[in-house]
Amino acid sequence: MTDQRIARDALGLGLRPALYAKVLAERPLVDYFEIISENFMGPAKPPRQNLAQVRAHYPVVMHGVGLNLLGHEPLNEHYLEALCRLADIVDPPFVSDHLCWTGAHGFSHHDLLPTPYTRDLVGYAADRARRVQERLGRPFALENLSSYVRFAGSEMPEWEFYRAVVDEAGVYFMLDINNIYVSSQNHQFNPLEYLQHIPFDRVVQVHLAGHNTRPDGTIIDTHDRAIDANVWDLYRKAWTMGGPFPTLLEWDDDLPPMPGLVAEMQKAREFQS
Amino acid sequence: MRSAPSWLAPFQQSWSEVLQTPLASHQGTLQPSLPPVWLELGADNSVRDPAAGVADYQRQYWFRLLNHLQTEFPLTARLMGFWSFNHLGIAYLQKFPPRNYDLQAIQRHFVNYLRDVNQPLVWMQAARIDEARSKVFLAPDYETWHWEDARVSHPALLSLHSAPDWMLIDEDWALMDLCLQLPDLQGEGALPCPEAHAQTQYWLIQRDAQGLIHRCLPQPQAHLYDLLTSHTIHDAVMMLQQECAKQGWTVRPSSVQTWTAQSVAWGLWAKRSL
Repeated sequence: MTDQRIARDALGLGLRPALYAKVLAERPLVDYFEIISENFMGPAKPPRQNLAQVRAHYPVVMHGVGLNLLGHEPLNEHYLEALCRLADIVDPPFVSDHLCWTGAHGFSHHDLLPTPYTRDLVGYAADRARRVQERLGRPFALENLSSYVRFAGSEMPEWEFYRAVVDEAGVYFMLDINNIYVSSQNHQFNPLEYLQHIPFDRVVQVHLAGHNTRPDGTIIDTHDRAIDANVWDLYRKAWTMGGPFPTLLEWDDDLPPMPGLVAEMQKAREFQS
Repeated sequence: MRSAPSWLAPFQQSWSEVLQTPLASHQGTLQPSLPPVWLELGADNSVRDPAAGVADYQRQYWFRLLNHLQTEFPLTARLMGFWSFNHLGIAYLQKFPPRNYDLQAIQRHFVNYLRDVNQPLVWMQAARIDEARSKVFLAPDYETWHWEDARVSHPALLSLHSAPDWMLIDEDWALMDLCLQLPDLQGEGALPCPEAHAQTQYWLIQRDAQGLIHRCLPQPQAHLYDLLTSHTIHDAVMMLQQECAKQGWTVRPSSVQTWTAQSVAWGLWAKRSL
């Protein structure tokens, strides 16, 4: 297996099923890949085989979408067990998931859902995040959401909630710059103010992605196109504030050919000054 | 570990109700339809229309699930047409909302659901083909059994363990041929029902290193493989002979030997039960 260490200024790509064959055939110049953990937690042979082949040539980090950290029910022990087993195989330098909920009352909604940001939710979330990190036995990081609704019951801005949970849990930040931009436009806050509250020495990785602006001005986090100029601008500011940090491009749908994908990822270098 | 704040469970209950409320058909499209409980979410109206924001989540919920069903049941979706398939999918997901973090689990009851709601046989057979192709492709790894692994004095006494990466499918219409043509058939409209066979056809779907292979088998050969999954070779052959007599099939003993040898050569058997 290849060395799993990732340079502080590494550039990575989200590994999606449509890319497996191209990655293995073309061996693109990518410092590391990020997998969606849930795609590899089952017993199916093809995903595991693909992962092992990619893992033989590139460092791999794990990013989850189903932890349900802010769900009202106890953490799913089967899920945690499968996540830990996968982490033992992949041996990533860190594992991440989202500061959100994904299911309730026995149902799984397969989406990253927001909550009001309240003081009494901080400790609950922090306890659960700390427990996940302990179970994993490796750094665990939380990603900020993009959201389309906010709540009258919120007692603090998102960045304050995010930081409070991460600080109290002793976990790490997986900072999505596109999500900050999307939410800042949808909810009319200053994205720079958000960044100013992030201690970058605890940021394990930054995500970048494309989004779609609808005619009514609402921005939807779609991961299906090139990164918007405003997001690049915010990325440059984040880099000035706290770079270097590993940067990963998420592109899930309507994927361009591999050279275009790599070029979009490498464009990040232009904004690292 | 601290407990969840008391407001969290009812808040998430209301959200779940909103998400699981089916999209409405409106002017040929599926549109969000918010139930009154959305007002209990306490969405802030100071910046943008909160109903629009909540509707975005409801739309995402349904389209993610429907897209997944379309991907998992491509033949069924094209035979029905996406519009009809989505309506059936919504009704199915209302009855069986997702309960597992694994998105693959959402289709678990779909084929039985089609039967329960009396959908046409051709659609059910199409759904079985789609389901089989997905299950076979996503089967776990295993060690293939070879003749030299036999630990008995007489091979006829062997009980073979079925490998997880193959399934037998029967069809009364030329569905598998249509299924294999789907990559060249763009569009969302309903495809014409393929021609009916004069008699039922049997397919072996198996995973190989490149993806899936599909072998059309004579009915006795398919029946033999089915029998071998749960009987010794000797008993399976005896039962096949009885069935041949009953059905009037003419099968030479050498064919049975060839088919058995082929099943081993194709890797249909695993070293141990999975």
